[in-house]
Amino acid sequence: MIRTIDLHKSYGSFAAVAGINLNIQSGEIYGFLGPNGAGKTSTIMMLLGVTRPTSGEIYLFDERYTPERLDLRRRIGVVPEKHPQGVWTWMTAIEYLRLFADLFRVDKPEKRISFLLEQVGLDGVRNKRMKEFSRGMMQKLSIIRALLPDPDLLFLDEPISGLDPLGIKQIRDLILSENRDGRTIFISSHLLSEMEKLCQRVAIIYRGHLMAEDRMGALLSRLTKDREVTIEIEAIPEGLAERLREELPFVLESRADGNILSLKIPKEGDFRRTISEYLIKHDQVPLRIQEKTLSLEDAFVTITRDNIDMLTQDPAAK
Amino acid sequence: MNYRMNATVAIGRHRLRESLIHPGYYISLTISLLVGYAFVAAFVRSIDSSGFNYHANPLYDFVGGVLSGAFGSTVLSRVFADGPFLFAMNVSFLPVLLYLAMTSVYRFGTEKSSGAIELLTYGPSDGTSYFLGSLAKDVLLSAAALLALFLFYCFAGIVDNIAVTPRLLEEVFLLFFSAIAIFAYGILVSSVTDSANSALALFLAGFVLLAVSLVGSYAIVGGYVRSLSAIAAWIVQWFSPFFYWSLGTRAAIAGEFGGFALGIIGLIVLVVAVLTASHFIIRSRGVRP
Repeated sequence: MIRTIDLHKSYGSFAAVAGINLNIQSGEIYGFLGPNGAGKTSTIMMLLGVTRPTSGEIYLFDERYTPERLDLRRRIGVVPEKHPQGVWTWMTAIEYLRLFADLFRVDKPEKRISFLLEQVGLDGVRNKRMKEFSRGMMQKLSIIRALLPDPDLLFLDEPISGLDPLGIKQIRDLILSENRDGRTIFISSHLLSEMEKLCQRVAIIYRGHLMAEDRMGALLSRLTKDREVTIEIEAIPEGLAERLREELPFVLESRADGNILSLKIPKEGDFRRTISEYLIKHDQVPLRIQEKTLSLEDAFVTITRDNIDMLTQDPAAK
Repeated sequence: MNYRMNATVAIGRHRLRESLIHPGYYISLTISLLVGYAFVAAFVRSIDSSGFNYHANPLYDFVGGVLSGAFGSTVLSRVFADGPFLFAMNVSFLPVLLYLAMTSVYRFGTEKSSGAIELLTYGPSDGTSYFLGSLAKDVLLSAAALLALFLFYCFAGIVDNIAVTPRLLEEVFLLFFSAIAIFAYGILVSSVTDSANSALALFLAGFVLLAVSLVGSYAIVGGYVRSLSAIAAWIVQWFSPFFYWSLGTRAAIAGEFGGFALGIIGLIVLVVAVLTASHFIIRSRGVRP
């Protein structure tokens, strides 16, 4: 669906994007992460045809893509982070959508607009002026605008930022529903917990370089060195934590905090049965055993700060 | 219809609608008509037994003084040889022309800095189609204003018993193409600037420079100022819509169709050149704020 080869973008001597190779498959939800100034926007602008690469190639829908390929741009829907402020405020929702339906040559525009307005619950405000819209309504309207031409590829930039919990859920459900219908979705966001819920694959860009690109689970697994297991016990006898570390060789670290026992264990292997047997043997009943998993947020911090060398190595070569 | 043409039509229609639901265009057109009425009414009052005497009315006394001071008495007598309409048409079109050109330039700037142009160009359209759509709107509205003014002067001619000659129609065509050239300059200015204020300031500065250079080519002031303005005017004239307008107007007054056609052709070439330059600048600079 999207393929870039050695994509570069420089502004004077500053390399905003330094040789990015992306390969996004049809039908997936792809997350694009990076701190401010990492090169995310520069990459997206090149993919949208708003700016030209300094060097490198872009392929969209298996065709060589340049900003002049308006036929390919017709197949992309874009939801920017912020809708332009202070312009078009005199327009009603329906007038705004008609403008974009005209631009994209949407077939049977009135039917399509009505369908989409109904789908996100905005059909009641179709004749309301846009200046009266809340942030959440504007975001929904923006998504409808992007969906008008029934695009094969949807770019979403911070789609849920600034929304209330209900708005976040509605937009998340809409994104998942669009993806179930076969639409490829490219999301750029800072809200990593939300990306974790939505994306099947993520890429992390840092200082113009692609630091990591993998399926969510695989990426988190690659970054996990040790795991932490917490065990809830009715009352922890004195010295149990130390004995566990001494007697069970896979326990790397242990500590007791109230009635919670925390153990650091190696990344590979399932030690729950051995731990349970040990505790029972010592007259302790584990009430709950829980493994603390690495979140995308932890991974992001790890990648951008500590593990740059580890991730630039080819995983297959390990 | 290809994608760029479709986008141009869609954006042009949107901009036209936007202009027609706001009062600005109607206000500027009303001012234009009032200015036109004032010049026609004053002209009628300036006619005495010897014919048109511009000293007989304060408005024409002022205008006549300025025109003969800047261009000489020959130009003055030629301009009013056919009545007030030629001069009135030129002056009365200015409010609409300036309103359309300045609001477009300002609008380009605000829509660029707010990200609106970028949003419009995410799909099957680009910066060039956005600007061409806006140009189409300005062309249509200026054509409508010129038609309204022309009909008004025809009506005034009948009421005041002053002949409306074909020169007025020729002037309408010249003003129409001159307006397109000025709108094209507005696009050029917008493509090289990043904010609405800087675009407007640069546009107005350019407009004044081109107008002053035209006066400089006629000015009968002496010495240093004359030499300087003549040199500046000679350099700038080839890029100036006013030069081709002046060329066409002088030919129209003298009844030389060849010169009039040359003025129109010059304006068309200028429009094409300015729009082509704008296209490449937009392509290279993009439409990002």
